[in-house]
Amino acid sequence: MKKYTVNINDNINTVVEKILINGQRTVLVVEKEKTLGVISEGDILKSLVYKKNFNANLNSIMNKNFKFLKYKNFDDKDVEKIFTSHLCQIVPVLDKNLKLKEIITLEQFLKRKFKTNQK
Amino acid sequence: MRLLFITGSRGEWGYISPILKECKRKKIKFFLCANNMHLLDSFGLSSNEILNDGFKIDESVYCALDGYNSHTTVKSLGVLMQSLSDVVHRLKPNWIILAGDRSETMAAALVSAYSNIPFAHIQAGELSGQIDGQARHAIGKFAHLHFASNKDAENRLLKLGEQKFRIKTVGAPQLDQIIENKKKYKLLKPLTKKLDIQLKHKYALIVYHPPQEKIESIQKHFDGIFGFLSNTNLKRIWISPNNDSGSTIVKSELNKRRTHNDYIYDNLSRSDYLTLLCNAKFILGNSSSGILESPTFKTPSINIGLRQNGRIRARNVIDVVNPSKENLIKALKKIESPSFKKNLVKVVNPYGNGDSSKKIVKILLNTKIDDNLLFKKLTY
Repeated sequence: MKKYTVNINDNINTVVEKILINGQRTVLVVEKEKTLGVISEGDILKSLVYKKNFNANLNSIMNKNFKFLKYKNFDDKDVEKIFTSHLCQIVPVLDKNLKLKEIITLEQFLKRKFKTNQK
Repeated sequence: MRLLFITGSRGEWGYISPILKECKRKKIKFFLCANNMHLLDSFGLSSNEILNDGFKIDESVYCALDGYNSHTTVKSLGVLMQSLSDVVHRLKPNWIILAGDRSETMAAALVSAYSNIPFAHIQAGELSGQIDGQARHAIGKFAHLHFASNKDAENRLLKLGEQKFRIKTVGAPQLDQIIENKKKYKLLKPLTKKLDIQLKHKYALIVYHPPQEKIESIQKHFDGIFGFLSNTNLKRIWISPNNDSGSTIVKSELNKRRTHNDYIYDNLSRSDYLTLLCNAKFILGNSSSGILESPTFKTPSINIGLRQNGRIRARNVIDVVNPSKENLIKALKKIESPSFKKNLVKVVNPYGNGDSSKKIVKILLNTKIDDNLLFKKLTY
């Protein structure tokens, strides 16, 4: 899951590098396994265009109130709801203390959905 | 008439914006100087709200040094004072208008007084806890006009040796906007849609600022608050703290302890914040909003620690000096009791009834700037 995460103390450069590696236009911001927020390509563009700051603290860019699934407490409908209503590329699965347990990508979701429909 | 309003935080903006609206309505020339937190990304960039409200920022003063400890706080104030002196020299206002008890206001008060420009102080004469209370009284010593929000504050100013003609009891201007738009704030659904959050049931609104003299108590307070919250199924909406010394500790503790029931906002527009306050099961923390604004909505307020010590409060406020898990559970039980609910309906806000900004502007227009005003006599 490392390619999907950056540390809260990293900079925008690291975020961009991770996004280029994971190809999902998004990274999760974590600190000691705890997920603190999500940064999308859009958030970076906004930061650069409006705040004109390449050294901005990730804490000020990330979305702290992001969408996630509750570990061992979700079904396919919940996954579908998040992907269809929020147009995101990845959804983290977190336990009650926001510890990252799993990541579901839009690609995985669509493949699964396609297979189910074929059956 | 040239008025200069100086503001450094989103809280003060609530005091000042209704007065600026009144100035606009009356076509009075005014300038706005935004400083400190208004201009900082990491504190929500509330200057955007000022612009969205239709006001122009004439002067932006960046002054906050990173670190947010007592050393950088003092140094930042020095930077602010130096810059404000230039602002005042450039704009040459007839009046400077300041609000509240924050350190930026204290710095602006010194600049005004030593520049020999009269200044009016909003929310004068009240008591607040810790260093804020000392700052408010010190600001009052330099102020040429005191806008007190109630009789209690008026009496205190008299006792502090201020001349009677300088004290004007006008209410708290931040309530003007609340009272004018009270119906609008009851509508929660459009806001939850905008914020993209689910609040099916009542929720807790939490506004916790670092207690300045006792930074080491932050952890203890958080132990109590999170222990208490884990005992409930309530969703919690946190508003990030101001940039006083200790704010980085508060933010870091919040990040460490948050669960899937916590939403965190660095800065909401005032209107969004008031909608959340209006519809919350209770407000918890040490913000002045829990004392000054919550009574208008009849929202129960659990006020913790000493930060708001000594301020006059309505009956919707429950004080919990030591916010242990047990004490907070007791406070919630009290909120849920039939007798508290019965009294809540009758709560009256002691800080005013919605016509404060009109009174303030009228007084500023009608006060003659002469030696009598500029040269203060301390009566005690």
